[in-house]
Amino acid sequence: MTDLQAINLFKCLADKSRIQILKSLMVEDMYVERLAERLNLTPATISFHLKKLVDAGAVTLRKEQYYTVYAIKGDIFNVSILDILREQSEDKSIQDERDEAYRKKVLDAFFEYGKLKSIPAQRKKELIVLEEIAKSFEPGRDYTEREVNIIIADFHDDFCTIRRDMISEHILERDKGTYRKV
Amino acid sequence: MNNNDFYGFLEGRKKSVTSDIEALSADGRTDEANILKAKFNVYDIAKSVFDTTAKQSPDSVATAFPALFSRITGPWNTSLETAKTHGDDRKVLIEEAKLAAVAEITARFAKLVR
Repeated sequence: MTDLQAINLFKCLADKSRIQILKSLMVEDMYVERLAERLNLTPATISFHLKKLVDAGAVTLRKEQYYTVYAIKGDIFNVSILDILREQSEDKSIQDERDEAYRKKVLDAFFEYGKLKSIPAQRKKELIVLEEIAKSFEPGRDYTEREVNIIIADFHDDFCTIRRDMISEHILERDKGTYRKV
Repeated sequence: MNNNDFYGFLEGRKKSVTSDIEALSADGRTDEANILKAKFNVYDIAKSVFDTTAKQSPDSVATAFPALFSRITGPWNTSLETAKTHGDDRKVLIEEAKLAAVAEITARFAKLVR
């Protein structure tokens, strides 16, 4: 378990409702409505907490007919805290985790449900956003300008600015009206 | 309608929600407490909107307030539906909390101007 994973897990566990959910899941696997009834919380509140628990790796989910059933992930709780503390923190992985956390923060701030809310003013943040949009382009494939515009317009209406910025940031290259991902 | 009755209602609800937030925090349910803070802010929004309409249209505040308030809070319904569609559970809880406050405020205002 990396330092960041351990922090996320401990943060996630520091909440009474989530502890109550885990205690219920210790008894048996359950679906949202059952947990809501048992803990006297709304299904929306239970779903919110379960998502956090799943993201932290504390709970797994599986589909059963019409229901999504949640189960406690035993492996993660069988690791002792001392084992987690004994693990060496590698400088490289710490830096990678920091970069990834920053990247995620920027993407969460500027994207909503897959749409770009606004083009970041800061170059560093814009670069992250442009790299995210670039994931929609296949490497090695040539695109016409119209195709490029259509792909970018799925994210933001101002496809001209974004297309130009992708060229100037060397994310896309243009040659005689043909575009290609760098 | 006595404006102070409406102000008194808004202040009373703020106190009640503050007490709920404190209780949740004390109970170690920080995320739910933070989500409830969104509800608290709606009472302040209602107060600002009421102040504005009471100044601009003192004779027609009974219709001007609900019109302006619903123009501000109306998009929250869309936001809730979008959040549900995308499975954004945190946003669903926030929008539901805000809309619960809107329903309380609208109902009380209608009662006071009746």
